[in-house]
Amino acid sequence: MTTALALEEDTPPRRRAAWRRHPTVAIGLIILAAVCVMAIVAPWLATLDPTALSPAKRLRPPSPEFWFGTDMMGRDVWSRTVYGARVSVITGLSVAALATTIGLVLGLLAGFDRTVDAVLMRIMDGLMAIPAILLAIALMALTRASLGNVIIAIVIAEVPRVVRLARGIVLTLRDATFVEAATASGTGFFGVLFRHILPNAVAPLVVQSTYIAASAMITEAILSFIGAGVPSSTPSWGNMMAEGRTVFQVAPQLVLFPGLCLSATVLAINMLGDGLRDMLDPRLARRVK
Amino acid sequence: MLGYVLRRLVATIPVIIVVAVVVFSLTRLTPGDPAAVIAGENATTEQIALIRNRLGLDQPLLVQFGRWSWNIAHGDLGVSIFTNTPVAGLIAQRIGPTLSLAIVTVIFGLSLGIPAGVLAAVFARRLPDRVVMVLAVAGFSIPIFVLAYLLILGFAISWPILPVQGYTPMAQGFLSWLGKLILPSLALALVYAALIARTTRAALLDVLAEDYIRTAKAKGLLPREIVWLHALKAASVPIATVVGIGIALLVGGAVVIETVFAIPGLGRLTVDAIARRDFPVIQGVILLFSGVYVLINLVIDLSYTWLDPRVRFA
Repeated sequence: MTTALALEEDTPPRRRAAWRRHPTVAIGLIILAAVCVMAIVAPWLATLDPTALSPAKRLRPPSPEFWFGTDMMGRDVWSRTVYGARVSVITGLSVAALATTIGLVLGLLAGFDRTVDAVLMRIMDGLMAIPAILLAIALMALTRASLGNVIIAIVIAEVPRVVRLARGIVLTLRDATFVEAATASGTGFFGVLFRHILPNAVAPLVVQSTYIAASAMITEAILSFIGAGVPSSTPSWGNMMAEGRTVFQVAPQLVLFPGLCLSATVLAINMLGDGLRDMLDPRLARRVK
Repeated sequence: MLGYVLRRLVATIPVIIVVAVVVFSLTRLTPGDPAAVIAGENATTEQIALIRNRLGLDQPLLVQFGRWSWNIAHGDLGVSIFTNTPVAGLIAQRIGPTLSLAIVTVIFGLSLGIPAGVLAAVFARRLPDRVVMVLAVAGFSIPIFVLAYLLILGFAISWPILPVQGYTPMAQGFLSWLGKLILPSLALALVYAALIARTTRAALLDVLAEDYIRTAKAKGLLPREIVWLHALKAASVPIATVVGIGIALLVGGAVVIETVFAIPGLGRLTVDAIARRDFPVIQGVILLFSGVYVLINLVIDLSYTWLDPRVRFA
């Protein structure tokens, strides 16, 4: 009881100290949470229907009526920007979750089986030789434009990096003394896997998944920007920038507002990833800081 | 050393084979009829059949792959569905602007990234380090096309000192060639420089903690001699590696930057090919870019023997 009380009293100051030591994690989390909330409550934050056309009000500058102005078809840019967060957030989170899960399973297979390793890693090396954006572009060129297909295309392009990381972790841990000791003391394969390998693989994979989420959001925006992403009827930051680029000289806000939202979101995720890396790997943090 | 070179060359072969299989499979293993997808929604049955026949999609898969690989090995990348001209010819017409963009970008990226990384390592945990690292994270996070538009807004609209659109071949004047490449290369180079700066800083910090650096200091060598003549060479292997890896970033970025700045290069060719569903062109460009990426990384792997004697004698 005393120990439990002591721990309870000890935890909040420790937590505050951790946030002070790693402010980038806190800043990244706050910005990311704000973008996620914006995506969830978009129908309430939007002042107008993001797809409602109003040609008479086209290319209006920012004003109290239209906070971010209007686009070439008179649509409200603020409402479209708010809804655009949904596409980026869904893409980032889905790609990070799917690529990390698939990559972890394949990495574990490669790490534990030499035959699988030999074949799988050659395939991954080949996939990694194709620039991720080009692979995603090629996959999108052959499929119907939809958010689901964009996510699948980016997952395929991102998985090889996770496989390589997960395989490396397994190979290192498999020969670690504590794993050898666990095996020698009679722990079975799944015991070693779930009790020793996976818990130690979580930290680097979480850090990697943040970078994947950031990269996925940029790739999605690039695909939409060049006309190979989500359908143009769906408001996404990439689509908005693509539509706004023809009138950039007279209405730069059409490109800049969605662009700055995308940049802030990606920056928040990268800050979170860097902070988590330093937090979860103090040896690396000491060495590089 | 010969053993290392041979091992690296042999290791490249399966990578090239997998790239070829993946690029070939893109059209063949896609759900549905690839000929119908390429032909578009309003295509007639005859047009779909023509595309199927032209791409050889009506033959057994292994025969298709054999014929396709044979053609690729002989430099035949197929024929564009839209222009009905050889893909290799289209690529040859467009490679100049992309190559120019890549060269200027790499020069900018190295000239900004390495000094910034050195500065951050030498002043580790002090203000210059913090500034460089904040800029590096920002460089990573601001998407290339957003950066491009910010540069256009700054240097072509608000303060019009640089041209913003198109490409002038070097034959028409070095300055006008360079002038039109400054903004696109800078937009592309900043992310590349951020990657190089972070790696340079980390690699240099490792080397600066080594015993021989302490010995060099004790012998009275100037700090700049220690950093630029001794430490940087020892830290060059990870820097060279990241320069090679960054080529993939440049390739992806070129597609976007050429669209923003209306540069008639391979990136623009790819975007036009997507709009027209001209798949032989898309395949050709992917094969070329992947081949260049593999080749550059092979050259960098081989350069380790020169950069790090331990690799030579391993």
